[in-house]
Amino acid sequence: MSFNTLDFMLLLAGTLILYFLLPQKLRNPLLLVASYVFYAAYSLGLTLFLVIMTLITYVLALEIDRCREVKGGKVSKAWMIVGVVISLGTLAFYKYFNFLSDALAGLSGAKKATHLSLLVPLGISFVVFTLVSYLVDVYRGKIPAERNILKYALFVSFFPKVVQGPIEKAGDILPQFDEKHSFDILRFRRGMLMVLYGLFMKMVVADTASVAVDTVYNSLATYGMGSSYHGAATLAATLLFTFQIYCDFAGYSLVAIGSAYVMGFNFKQNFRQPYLSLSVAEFWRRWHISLNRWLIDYLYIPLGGSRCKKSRKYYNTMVTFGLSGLWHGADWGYIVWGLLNGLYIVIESELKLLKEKIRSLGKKEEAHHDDPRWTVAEPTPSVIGPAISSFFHRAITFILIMFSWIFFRAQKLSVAMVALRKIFTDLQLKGFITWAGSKLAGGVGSTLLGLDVVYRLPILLAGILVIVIVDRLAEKRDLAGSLAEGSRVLRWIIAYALIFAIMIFGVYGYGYSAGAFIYAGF
Amino acid sequence: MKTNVFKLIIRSIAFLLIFCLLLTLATLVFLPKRNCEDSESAQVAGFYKEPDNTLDVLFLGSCNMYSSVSPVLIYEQYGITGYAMCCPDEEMSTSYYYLREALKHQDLKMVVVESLFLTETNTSRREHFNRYALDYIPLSLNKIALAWNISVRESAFMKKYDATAPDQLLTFAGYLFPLLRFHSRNDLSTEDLTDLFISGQYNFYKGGFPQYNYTSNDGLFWDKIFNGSRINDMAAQYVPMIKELCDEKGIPMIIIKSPNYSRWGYDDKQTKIVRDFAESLGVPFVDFHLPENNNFREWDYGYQTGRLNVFGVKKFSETLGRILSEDYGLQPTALSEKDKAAWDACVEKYYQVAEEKGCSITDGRIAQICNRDGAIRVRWNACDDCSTYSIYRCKGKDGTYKKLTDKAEGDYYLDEDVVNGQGYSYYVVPNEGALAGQKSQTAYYVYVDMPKDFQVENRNGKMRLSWEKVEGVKYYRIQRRRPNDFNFDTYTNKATGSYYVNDSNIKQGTVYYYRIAAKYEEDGVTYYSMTSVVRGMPQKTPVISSVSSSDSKAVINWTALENQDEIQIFRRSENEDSFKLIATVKGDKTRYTDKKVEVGVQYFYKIVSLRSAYGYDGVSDESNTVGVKVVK
Repeated sequence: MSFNTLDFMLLLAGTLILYFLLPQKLRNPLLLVASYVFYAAYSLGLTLFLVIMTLITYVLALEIDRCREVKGGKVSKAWMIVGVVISLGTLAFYKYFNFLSDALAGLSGAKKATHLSLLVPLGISFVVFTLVSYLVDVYRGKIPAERNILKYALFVSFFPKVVQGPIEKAGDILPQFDEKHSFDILRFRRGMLMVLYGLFMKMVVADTASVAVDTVYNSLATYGMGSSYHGAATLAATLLFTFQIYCDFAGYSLVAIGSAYVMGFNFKQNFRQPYLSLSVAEFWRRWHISLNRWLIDYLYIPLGGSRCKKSRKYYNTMVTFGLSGLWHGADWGYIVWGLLNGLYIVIESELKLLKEKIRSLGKKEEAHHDDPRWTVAEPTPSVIGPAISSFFHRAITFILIMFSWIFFRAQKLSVAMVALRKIFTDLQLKGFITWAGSKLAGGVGSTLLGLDVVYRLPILLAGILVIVIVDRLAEKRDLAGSLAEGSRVLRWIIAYALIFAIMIFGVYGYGYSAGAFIYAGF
Repeated sequence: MKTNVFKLIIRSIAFLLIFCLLLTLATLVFLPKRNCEDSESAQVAGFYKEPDNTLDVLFLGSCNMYSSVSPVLIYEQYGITGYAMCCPDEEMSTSYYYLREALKHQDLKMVVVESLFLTETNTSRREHFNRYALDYIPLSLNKIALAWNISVRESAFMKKYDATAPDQLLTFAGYLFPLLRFHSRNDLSTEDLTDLFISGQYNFYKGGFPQYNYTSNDGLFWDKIFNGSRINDMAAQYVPMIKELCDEKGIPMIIIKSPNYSRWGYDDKQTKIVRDFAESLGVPFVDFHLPENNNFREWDYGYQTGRLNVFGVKKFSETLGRILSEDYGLQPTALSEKDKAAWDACVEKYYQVAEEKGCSITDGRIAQICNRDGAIRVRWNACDDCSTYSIYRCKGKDGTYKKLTDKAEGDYYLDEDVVNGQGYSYYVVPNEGALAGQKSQTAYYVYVDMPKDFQVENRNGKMRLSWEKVEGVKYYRIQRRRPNDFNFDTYTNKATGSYYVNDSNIKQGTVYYYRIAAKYEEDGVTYYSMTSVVRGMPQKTPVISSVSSSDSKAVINWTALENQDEIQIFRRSENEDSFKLIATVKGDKTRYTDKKVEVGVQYFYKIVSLRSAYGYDGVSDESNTVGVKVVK
């Protein structure tokens, strides 16, 4: 079941009520049952996958722990490698078999590649990364192997995070399952506000934007350069996708974090107003934070991180981003997207002096000991000069990121190339403006990029405006927390506004399947 | 933060109450507005406006009930109050839960269940019918149970055809909270804001929905198709539950078959099945189907889909009221002055609306005027205390009226002194009784001759319609229907001349009914002649494609034929004068081997195809004739 379905809302409501009614010793079993119900609603058969992977990694972790003192830790390391290979191998098989088969066929000149028709386990990428993170942390001695099988199974399958993260470390989550959580009204308010806002982002903004995005990109995929949509329309669709993917993924994260928060669990923030970033490097410190932390800890640093000569550092960066792209999808478009972002980072590093000069306008920098990207930015002082500079850098960053989303959304390299050619050789901006104007003036029944101009389009634009305003406000304060503790009248108004915005403007019901979360396919 | 449980509960309740209020307001805005006076979809909502314990009878059933019965007219005649708690295609499960709802508010004395949906297959899979059933009753345990019942079947059905159809839970939630269904409406108008409560308004029809148009006597309208069908599973489960509920409350229940001019109405097997079912439950069954049990005159009270028109409703309601009052001893509840005044106002409004729609049902008023064959027929609402009427006429719309007769009896007069293309105005005056001497309203009509000799002929699979031209008529309307269609569809409004070849969307071997009316237009109004109906069957002429001989046999092959029952093979030898039938094979065959032949003799063959459907025996034209000499 998806977060934006009635089934999930009933599951969440029922779980919350029972969680606080049941005695402590029954709460984890309750959560485990709820988590498996959640997963089994997708596929009962693939729930077996979850069970098997849980058991394998549970046993391996215990062995890793047990063998730590044996033969200088080599046996322990071997078990860790076995576990990592099994986990990643499962991911590779389910998610990348057909892609690798196509690539091999292409290289060997074979006419046809072998394809398997596989039902991919839901959230496999997230589950596998969670398992790998656990095994490596146990091997590194950061955490002991969990002996309680039920608690471990719950950690792996915990329903708020199992499908799309956040990818939480075992050391952060497992101890929380031992804590006694009492119902706290502030946590309830804050958590529910996060859930509501997350659903708003997903169901109102992301799913509405997807109509326009799909209209254009499906046309590009089907008709190539023969598509009736020119460069300006492609740019408009890409701009909308920029918000779609943000609202889709960040919305999901908020629902996950908020749901867990109500029950007393603390997940780390996964998105931190990424489109307000001043640089691509900063963007990657604000976007999908849990994944990037994972990549740094388990890929970038083991490769050598930045503690090496510059060429090696850049190599590590490119590999990390390339694999990040591959993690997102089994197609060249994703890989190019990842590599492009890596390239952005490399270029920015080379322009570091210039960036430091910009940052010296009021920001302090604390360098992470291993990662030059992991810096903490403090708010820019409010003066005209820095404000214009900030705007300029934000705009450039936004454009660069938006440009890279072309490859992500296109998925296939060929479609991305069509989109790029359209934008750079067939923009037709004036024609698009005229055409759009006529559509906007068309009244009831008229549509623009698949969105009716009287209803859906204004909703989308209003929704994007809300997102931008909220992000701006949230950059400086914990909005949900402020509302939870502040005026009841304001809190209720916002809660009602969100609830009814979702109910009235949300994309669900007849004609829509529960708009699948983009990352649920990963 | 330590939680004060009491305050938390109070605030939660307050939050939920405000939420419910906002949800109700939003629902009222987004819910499609249905005016029960204009559309047959929200009749049940008005039930909740009836004061408690003022209704004697509850009528349950589908369109056949609410378009046949008028609780208002029953009240007028017998003082018995009632409400038709009906919706289009109302199934027995819906009827059951409606009864439960009704019993919360009314101390009923009789329940009348219409029998159409005891045997009709359930249509709850279609959302719009389910919406009619559910959207306009308030949230209650009964609504929840009915919504669950419906949503299970609807979502299972819809998922087969539409992958994006919502799942059962969302479907169910959409019936309890219509905002979830209608939230995506992009056709909101100012009326959605100004007419928030129109769907739930007081229903002066008391749930009925009379049809104000009417058909004239156009001849054969329906085939008498005897399908019979069976008591459907829904009825088998819920009618006994309705009976049980009635027994529990001590309320008599009857099942009726109301008049209907469609195939269902003529289905005597269906009548028998329902009668047997009613008997098995110990429930009286009253069959109103014309013409045996009542005074309905064939076709005069018909409307599209075979239901009664407003005149038929009056007659049927009077008959039903009499049965309830006399045969079942139903005594009306004594109403308060206020309730009585409200019902009287409904009666007055009922007559007034009929008058406004040109279908007066007031005694002594002209009810209907139309063309017959060679005459204009003027029909009026007969007065109980009058046996003869005077009919007055003038030519055109203005002129001097002359008395045509003062001895007109019954409720109609045929004016045969008419000229094709001439308009006439009439009024009627009762000669006796309370309305003696009172002129009715005037009614105008233009006489148009009926096209004579209307025929249909099969011409190699095409239907050729022909008729005698009518003087002064430029256009003819041709309508067509198949046996199981409810209505005649207009095929063309502009046929000219004296023939028409109809060859589109025709299926070979199917019976088609055609009717033709001459059209005459005057001052923007179209007047139609009486129509005549013919039927025919398109059958392509068979074509023998080859004939050959070997092994002392002759083999003939022909092109495959569509939708034929049998093929007859005729043969003549060179020594014979006439063809004889030698074999009959199934209609899907394309070959015949004639073994009963003599070597050296020349034989000639031809074939015809046969098809029987809906009581029509179609025979195609003869095929081409082929010859072959039989060889060893």
